[in-house]
Amino acid sequence: VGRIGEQEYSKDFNKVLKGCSRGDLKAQEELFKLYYGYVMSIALRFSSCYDNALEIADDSFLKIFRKIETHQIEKEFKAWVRKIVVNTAIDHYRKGKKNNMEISIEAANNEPADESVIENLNAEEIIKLINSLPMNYRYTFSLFEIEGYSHNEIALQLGISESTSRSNLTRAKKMLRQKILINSHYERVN
Amino acid sequence: MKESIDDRITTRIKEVMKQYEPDYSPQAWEKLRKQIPVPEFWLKRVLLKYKFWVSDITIIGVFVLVYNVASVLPEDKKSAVNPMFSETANYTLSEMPKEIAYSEKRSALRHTISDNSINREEKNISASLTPVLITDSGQTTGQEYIQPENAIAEMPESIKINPVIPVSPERTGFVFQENIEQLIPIKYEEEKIPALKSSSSKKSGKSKFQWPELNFIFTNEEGYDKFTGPDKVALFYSPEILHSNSLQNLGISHGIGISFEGAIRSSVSISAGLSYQAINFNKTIIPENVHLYPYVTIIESGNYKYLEVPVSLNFKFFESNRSQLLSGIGISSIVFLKQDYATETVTGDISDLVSSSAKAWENVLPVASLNLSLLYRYQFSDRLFLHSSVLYKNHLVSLGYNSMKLNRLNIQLGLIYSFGHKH
Repeated sequence: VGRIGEQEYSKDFNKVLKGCSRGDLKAQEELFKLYYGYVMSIALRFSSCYDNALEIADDSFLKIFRKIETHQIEKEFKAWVRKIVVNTAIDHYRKGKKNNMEISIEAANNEPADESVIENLNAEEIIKLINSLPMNYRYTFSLFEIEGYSHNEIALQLGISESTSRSNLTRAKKMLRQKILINSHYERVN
Repeated sequence: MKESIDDRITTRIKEVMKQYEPDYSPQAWEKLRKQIPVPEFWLKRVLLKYKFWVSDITIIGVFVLVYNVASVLPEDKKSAVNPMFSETANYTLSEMPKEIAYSEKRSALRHTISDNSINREEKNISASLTPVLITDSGQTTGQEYIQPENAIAEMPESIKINPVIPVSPERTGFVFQENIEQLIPIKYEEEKIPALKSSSSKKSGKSKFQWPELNFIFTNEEGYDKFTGPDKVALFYSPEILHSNSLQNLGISHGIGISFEGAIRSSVSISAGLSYQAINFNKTIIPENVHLYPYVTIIESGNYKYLEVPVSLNFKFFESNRSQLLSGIGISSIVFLKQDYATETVTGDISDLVSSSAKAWENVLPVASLNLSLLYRYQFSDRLFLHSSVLYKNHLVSLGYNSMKLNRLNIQLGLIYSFGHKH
């Protein structure tokens, strides 16, 4: 199983890209193998569950295969893929916006979290935490903290005001903190 | 403290997520594979990509095919009546036997007319002339096509008195039987009998494919001197379909023009012209990545007026009594008299207009396009012709303001006046 290596722009990789632009299924499978993990890692941050993330990943790959002809090799392919996945996730947000319900959260517990609990969080736990966030909080958190979008850009992409974006981010963080504390409490009790 | 906990959580999430990549899942690929659309057939893609070239070649092919069929079919139906054979010799050419044998008392003359060596008209006339060769009376060996005994008596006086001069078989295309003892052939004076002229004769009545004369610069041709007549001047109306690299089909421009054509050879000529074209276009574009900026619409509009000077080298490759087909290759220079271009970006209720324009003569393109043409002429009279042509103009340089390449499919329809003369 391939992962994106340092030799991304090797001759073989260029062959894969050319094959994809011709619609060659083998080349598409090769690209899928190389980029599946990368695409899924981004998609999972915007999803409520694995299936939802897979849906975003599938749509992203279909876009990549369709638009690969327009991509210029000399540009950073990985960054281009990342942009497509994030944009696809935003598309999913817009489609699911109608069903998105604002969840009011109680005042966060001010009890300081145990540092070791935070440091010991692994990937699966973090993904579970992020997935459990309400959709608008999850998107705002991922776009701002991980993708590096500004509140202005988030507001434009998600169709919300800048102040709502700020508020969503604060609430997302509160909710994450609360969930981590609850989890650590249960661990201690058990 | 609350801030620092949030920061620590965020930092940890960033660290972990940066490293995290799930393993490849074959099931995921199987699921995706079913959603991938089947790619378009390569031929369709090629045809779409080179549609202007394909249309040009198709037009040429159709012209040649239609004209071939139209000009050749009536020839086949011509019948030949041999005045010398009265009843028996009255048959159509399609029924004519390949061999006609004549025998006499001590000699037999047999000649063969080959279908491949001379055309049907020539055969017809040759057959009518053949009996004058037989001067001796006597027995005949041919059964189906026996020369009547009174043939000589019925022979026209003009033929009887013709001088008899030996002629080689290669010249006439005839084959002589081996047992000929007394052979009295006749000389066919090709110059006096048009049908027996070489197949390159213009008046043969049958259309003929001619390859372009590529050695015309170095060889002399009787009747044609370089840069002398017959010359032609054409006035035409020329609509143009404009195709831009960035905006696809822009629309149709309209124009008028004049062109001069000077013959170098019977089938090679140089032409130069001047035409005026004008176009207004207005095109609405919805960007592909519309999800990034919802409700964005881009409206591109322009108003171009330009003068064009095309120069072309033409090769006549097909000719019949009244029609001519020529192919040409050349270049065009363009001078823009007016070049207004505007882009309006509409985002929701907000509109942003950016326009640019060039002054007259500001945008001059000395070698603007490479032109390929197909011309068809129909001769109404000695001096007057119908002028029609299809040109594909592939732009070699971009326009300054918006990097557009205006590839154009040009159609011309007009009249030609021929004013020169052959030397």
